[in-house]
Amino acid sequence: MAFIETPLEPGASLFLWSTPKFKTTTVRVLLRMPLDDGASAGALVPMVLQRGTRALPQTILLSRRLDMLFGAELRADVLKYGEEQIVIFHLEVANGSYLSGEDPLSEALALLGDVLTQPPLESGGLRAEWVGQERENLRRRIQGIYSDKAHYAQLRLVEAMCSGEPYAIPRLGRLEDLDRHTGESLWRHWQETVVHAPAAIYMVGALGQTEAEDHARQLLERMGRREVRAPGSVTLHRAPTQPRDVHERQTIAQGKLAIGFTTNLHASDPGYPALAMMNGIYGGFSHSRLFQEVRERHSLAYYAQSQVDGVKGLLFVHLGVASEVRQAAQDLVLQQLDVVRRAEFQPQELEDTFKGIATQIEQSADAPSEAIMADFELRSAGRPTEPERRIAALAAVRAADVAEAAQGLSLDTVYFLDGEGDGDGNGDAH
Amino acid sequence: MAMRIEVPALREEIWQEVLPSGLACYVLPKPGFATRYASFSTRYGSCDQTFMGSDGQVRETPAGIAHFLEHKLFEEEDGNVSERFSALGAMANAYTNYGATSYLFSTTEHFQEALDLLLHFVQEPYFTEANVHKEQGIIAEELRMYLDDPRSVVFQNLLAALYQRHPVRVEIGGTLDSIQHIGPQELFLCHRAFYQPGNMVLMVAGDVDPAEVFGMARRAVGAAGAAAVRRIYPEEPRAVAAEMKRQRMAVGVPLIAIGFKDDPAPSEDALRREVTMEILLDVLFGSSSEIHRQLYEEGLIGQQFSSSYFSGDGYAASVLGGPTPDPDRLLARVEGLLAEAVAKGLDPRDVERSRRRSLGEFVALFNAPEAVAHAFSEYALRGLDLMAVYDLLRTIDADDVAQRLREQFALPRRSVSIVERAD
Repeated sequence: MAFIETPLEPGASLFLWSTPKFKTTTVRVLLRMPLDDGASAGALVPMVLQRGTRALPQTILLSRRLDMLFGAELRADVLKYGEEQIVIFHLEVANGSYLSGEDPLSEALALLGDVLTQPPLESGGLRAEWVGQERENLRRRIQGIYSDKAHYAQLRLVEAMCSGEPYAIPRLGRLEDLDRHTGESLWRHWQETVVHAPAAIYMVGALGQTEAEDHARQLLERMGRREVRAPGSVTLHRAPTQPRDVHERQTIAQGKLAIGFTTNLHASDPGYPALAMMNGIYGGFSHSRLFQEVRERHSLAYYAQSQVDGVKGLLFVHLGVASEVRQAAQDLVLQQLDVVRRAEFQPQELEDTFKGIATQIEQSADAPSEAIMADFELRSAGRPTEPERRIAALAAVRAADVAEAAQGLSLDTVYFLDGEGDGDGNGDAH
Repeated sequence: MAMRIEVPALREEIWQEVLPSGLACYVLPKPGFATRYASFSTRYGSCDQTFMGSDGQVRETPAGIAHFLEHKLFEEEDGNVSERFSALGAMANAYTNYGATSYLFSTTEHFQEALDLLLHFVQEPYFTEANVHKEQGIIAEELRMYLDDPRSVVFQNLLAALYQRHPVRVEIGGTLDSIQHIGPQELFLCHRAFYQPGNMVLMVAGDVDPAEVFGMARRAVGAAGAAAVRRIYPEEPRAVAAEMKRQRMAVGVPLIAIGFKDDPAPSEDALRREVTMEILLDVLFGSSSEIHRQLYEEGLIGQQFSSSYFSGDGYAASVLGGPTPDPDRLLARVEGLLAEAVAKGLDPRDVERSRRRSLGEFVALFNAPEAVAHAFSEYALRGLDLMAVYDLLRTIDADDVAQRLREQFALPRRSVSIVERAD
């Protein structure tokens, strides 16, 4: 996998991976916005834009047009990356040579351009009817997070940890901001985004440099870009002197324990590969300490894992546990961290973790969307993108480096969603 | 003798060989991909609770035993086999569904060692009273996790409403109570009955040599085992068990699942039925349909609304649903709009559109060798050929789709499951 960067204008580049490996062509337009009070607008606009264009002013017309292009997939979403909100437009079309010979790519790209720049407008804004409907859809998406208890626990943990920092703002924005958006305010927000946001256009598939560049230039031209802002920066989160403890109750069958640590390391730091290895040994795999101790040895949980946010300098631990063993599970989690801090793990664990992460790096070249997002995140963090260099950096990590990375961790917040009460849940289901 | 199943237009092929032991092996060569993937699966799912083994005796086993067995096979005398996969840089996993259990791994290196490990550990059970007891705690936590997952609850409640006797009405993992009745003896018995080579499928995808895979499988999987096991399903009445099942949960948005019970297709028609039904459901409820447009504009559904055909040994149903602010109003609207659609009949142009979309999606599936392998193996376990879907999609007839519309929706046998907000 090798994306070739072609800067097209200030603040906008094409990243092309020209390959016959896949049976589709994938295009992603990524626009970077600061994560702030505009987050809910940033999440809402792409939902409205997907409803139709001036040429296809009803949703069903756009959808049927895409069907006829052999099910071309055109969708938009937002991603939280550090303290930025990334708006992503995703287009994937089957390569015509496997179908009837006609190539749907050019027409699909033209549709993408229309969706980005040609929504039907009324009184200087996006169509009010669509804005109203999508506002309710977004409201339900945000409310729906409450139904997914593990996701909800993570959201509440981050809110408690990073209160007052932009990072505490959820990916889809805040519920209480939704009602102030109108067709006009959203259209202004979108023009601001399209014109000023740093942009990356990724393409993966059987297309050449010239063809890809032509398509990308056309897209940018239609966006009418000027005075591009610099990508946002982020301050590492620092732990409080005394760890926070947050407790919440719901009528659920299983409690969710979510623990946040600060890592005091940014992804661009030379010590980051050691932190990645540390996370793998601690909770990234099924051979890891958390899985082996919490689940396999003590059978306290079905899942027990950790993950790192390298941009904000955080490490999260997640477990699903019964109320009565919560303290025992929490003690084990902290105890295992101490084991890693003292480098009291086996050489085999270091070796297995290295192999596991190396496999993941190599596998990311097997799926277009994963390859794109991996490349985007690595470049944004100022890390090398070549798989060989990334693997070599991991291979150089020794046990002492892992222990040092673990020593850099500070406990910040413990959040517990208590499943106290309705132990057996829906025992009356049948 | 190895045989080749080809889709020339796609430039894809799958090699097949049935070994002397009866094991069916398939290989999808994918040069240029780093990931090599293998799954070793048995036709043994949560529905296979009652069966007659080679001794001619009928056995009834506790709900959730196939899934319990899946967990326990990872255990070896000196640890957990997933650590041995880790040592090879491979990631191992497994899952159980209503009709099958599958063990799998993916890796970029040491493929042969990992494949050998897969073939051996699945055939070599190690169960003790102590390790079975320990697993009860882990599985109980897994079941509690699903009890809190409204999507899982709304779907399982629907199946319990649609089916009076078929075991598909019971959770795949069993219940907190049923798993207490599982011990080493029961596990050994089920392993002997269902993990015979003739009841299993090996599927490999990636940059590998088919002949080499077949050779390894031949060496690792011994002689044919005992006579085939006979599954015993109770006779399922045509009528649904209940029209409505409601449950309150701590959810942010209510959920609905609407099921239409269908008569299962005879096995020679099963693939055509699946393809025809996926087209029909897309025409009726897909994002380009008139029904979808109206429900969406009325604010009753969002992007998570979906429909699919759910079928297996002895059961079949069309299922649709998702989160909605008003389940009862959505149900009333679906009923009304569906009756209109049945009265009006199908527009052949809609069928054509859906056919093109499905063709494109079938092509795109081959971007992901793991996804192809997964789908191919699931079909093979049911005696169906995934590669034949391509030709079926090209030749599907609008009249067939229209006939299914009448059969499935004119006089529907319908159940509804709703998860409401517990305030």
